[in-house]
Amino acid sequence: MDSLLKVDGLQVQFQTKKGVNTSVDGVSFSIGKGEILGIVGESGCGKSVTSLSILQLLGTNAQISQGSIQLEGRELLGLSEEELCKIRGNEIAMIFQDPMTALNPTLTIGEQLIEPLVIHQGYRKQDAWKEGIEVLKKVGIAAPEKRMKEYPHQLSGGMRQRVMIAMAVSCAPKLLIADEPTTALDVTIQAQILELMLELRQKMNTAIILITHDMGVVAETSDNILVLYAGKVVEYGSVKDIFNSPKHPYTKGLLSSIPPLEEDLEELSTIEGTVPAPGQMPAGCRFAPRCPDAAKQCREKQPEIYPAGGAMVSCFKYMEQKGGQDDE
Amino acid sequence: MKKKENESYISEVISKLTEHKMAMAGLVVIVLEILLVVILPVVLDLNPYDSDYAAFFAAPNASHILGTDAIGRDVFARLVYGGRTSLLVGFFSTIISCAIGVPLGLIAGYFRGKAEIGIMRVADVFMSFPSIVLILVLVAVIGPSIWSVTMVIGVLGWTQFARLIYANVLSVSEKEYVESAKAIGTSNFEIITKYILPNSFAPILIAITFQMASAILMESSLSFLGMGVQPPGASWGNMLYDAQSITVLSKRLWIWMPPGIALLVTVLSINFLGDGIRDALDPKIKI
Repeated sequence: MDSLLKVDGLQVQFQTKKGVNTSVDGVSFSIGKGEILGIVGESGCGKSVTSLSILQLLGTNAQISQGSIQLEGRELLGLSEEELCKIRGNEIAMIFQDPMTALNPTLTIGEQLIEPLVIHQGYRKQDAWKEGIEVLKKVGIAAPEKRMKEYPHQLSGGMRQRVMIAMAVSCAPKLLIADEPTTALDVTIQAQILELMLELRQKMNTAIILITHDMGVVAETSDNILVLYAGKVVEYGSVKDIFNSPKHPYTKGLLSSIPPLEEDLEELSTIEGTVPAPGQMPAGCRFAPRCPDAAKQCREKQPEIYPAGGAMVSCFKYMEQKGGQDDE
Repeated sequence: MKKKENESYISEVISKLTEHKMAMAGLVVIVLEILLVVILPVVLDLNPYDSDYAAFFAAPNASHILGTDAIGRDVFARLVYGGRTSLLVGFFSTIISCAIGVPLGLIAGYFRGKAEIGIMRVADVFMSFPSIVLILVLVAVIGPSIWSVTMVIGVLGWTQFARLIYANVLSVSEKEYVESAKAIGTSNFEIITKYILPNSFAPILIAITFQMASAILMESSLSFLGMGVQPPGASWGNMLYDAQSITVLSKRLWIWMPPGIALLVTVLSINFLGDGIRDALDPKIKI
C-alpha cells in the first residue's frame, strides 16, 4: 500500500507534579492516500493526543518521547518550529471539535479563511479573497461573498464547522485530521458534515484521520479502524473485519453498546468501570480490570499485538494464532 | 467594510456605555475639561506666571476671579495651565506604561517558560518597591520637570499592564481558535497580533483609564512634595504645595480649594468612565 503517513511506536509523556504520565504508548498505524482512518475509543484514551502529536501541537508539558511520524517518508519529529509551520495547514490540516470556539471572534470569516492561503500559497490578499469565496462555495455555504465579511458569532454552528473545514482544505492538504468534527453539532448537521468530508475526499484525494467515539460514524465513513484503550492500540484493522468479527473484548464492548434499531432494549449495554487514570495503569493488560474474559496472565503481563484474521489485536487470546497473514 | 458588519457588538457596547449614567457624566466632565484647558488660554488673556504686585493672597475679586496666590499669581490662570499639565502627564505616562507593559505581558503569557519567569519576577520586584520613594529618588537623580515626571511615572507603571495582560493571555492562549491558528501554520507573531491582542483589548482599555487616574494623582503628589513640576510652571500639585501652611489651609480657601476640587473631579470622572467601560465590555453584565 502506498503509505502517506506512517506512525510507528508513538509514545507521548506528560510532565505532571506527580511525575511522568505516559498517555500514548506504542501507537502505530499508517494511512494511504485518500484513505480514511477512524480512531475510536473512550474519552481519555489518547485519541486527541495522538492526533495532536502528528502536528506537534501538544502543550509544553507534553513531549513525544519515542517513535517516529513520517509523512511521505519524511520524518516529522525533530523538525524545527519553522519547518512545522510550513507543514501545518498546508500538507496536514486539522479540524477541531468545537466550531463555536475554534474561530477567532475578532476576525471576519474571510480574514481567517484566507490566512492559510496567504501563509502557504503566497497568495496576494485580493486573490486569496476570491479563492476564499470559491472554497466556501465548495463546502456548501450559501452567499459566500456575504459570509466572508461576517464575524463568527453571526454564523450557526453547522456553518462554522463548514468554515473550519473550508479553512482546513483551502490549501488542498494531503492529510486532514478531524478531531471529533461532529460532536458539537446536532444530528442532521452531523450527517451533512460527514457527507461533505467524504465528498472532499473524493474530489481532492485527501486522506482523513477521523477521531470519534461514535462507532456509527466510523462504520459509515472509514476504511480502517484503530481502537485505542488507555493510550494503547487494542485493535487495528479494516472496518469490515472489525465490524463483522470484533476480536478484542474492548472492541466487542464498544460495538455492543450501540443500541440496535430493530429491537427495544430495557437497558443499554455498557462496559463496566472506567478507563484507568494515568499513573494508575494496571501491571498487565490495561483492559484486564474491566474485561469479562480476563485470565491470570492478563493481569500479570502486557499482551503484544498479534495478527488475527486480517486485523491486529492486542489480546492474549490471539497469541497462539501468531503467524497468520500480516496486513501492515 | 468590516466595521459595518461588526456593528452589533460595538453598537451594543456603545449603547450600554451611553446608558451608564456615571460613565457618561465622567466622560462629559473629562471632555469639557480637555476643551477648557485647550481653549481658555487661547481665548482669554491668562497669565499664570507673572505676579500682580498689587495683590498678594488676594481673595477672589473682579480682576482675579479665583484670587491670587502667595506671590500674586492668578489662581484661575494657574488652575487652567495646571490642568494642562495634569492631563498631559496622565496621558503620556499611561502611553509609556502601556507601550512597555503590554508587549512584555504578551510575551510572558504566550511563550511562558523562561520569558515568563524573567518578566514576571522582574515585575514582582518592581511592585515590591514603595513606588513613591522610588519615583522620588529617580526624579531627584534626573532632575524634576514635567517630562522627567512623565517618564518616571510611565516607566514604573508598566507592571500594572504587564500583569493584567499576562493573566489575560494565559486564558486566551488556551482558546481553541489559537490552537486552530497554530494548526494552519500561523506564525507566533501573527498569532499574538491578530489573535491574542485583539482578544485582550477590553482589559487593556480598562487598565488605561485607571492608570491614567493614578498617574494624575502621582504627578500631583510629586509636585506637592516639590519634586514634580517646578514653579513657575503650574500644576495642580504644586498649587496645593502652598496649602502646607496652616494659615492658608484655614483662612485662604481659594488657594487650595480649586486645584483640590479639580483633581478630585478629574480622577473621579476617569474612574467612573473606566467602570462604565468595564461594564459595557462585559457581555455578562446587563445594565
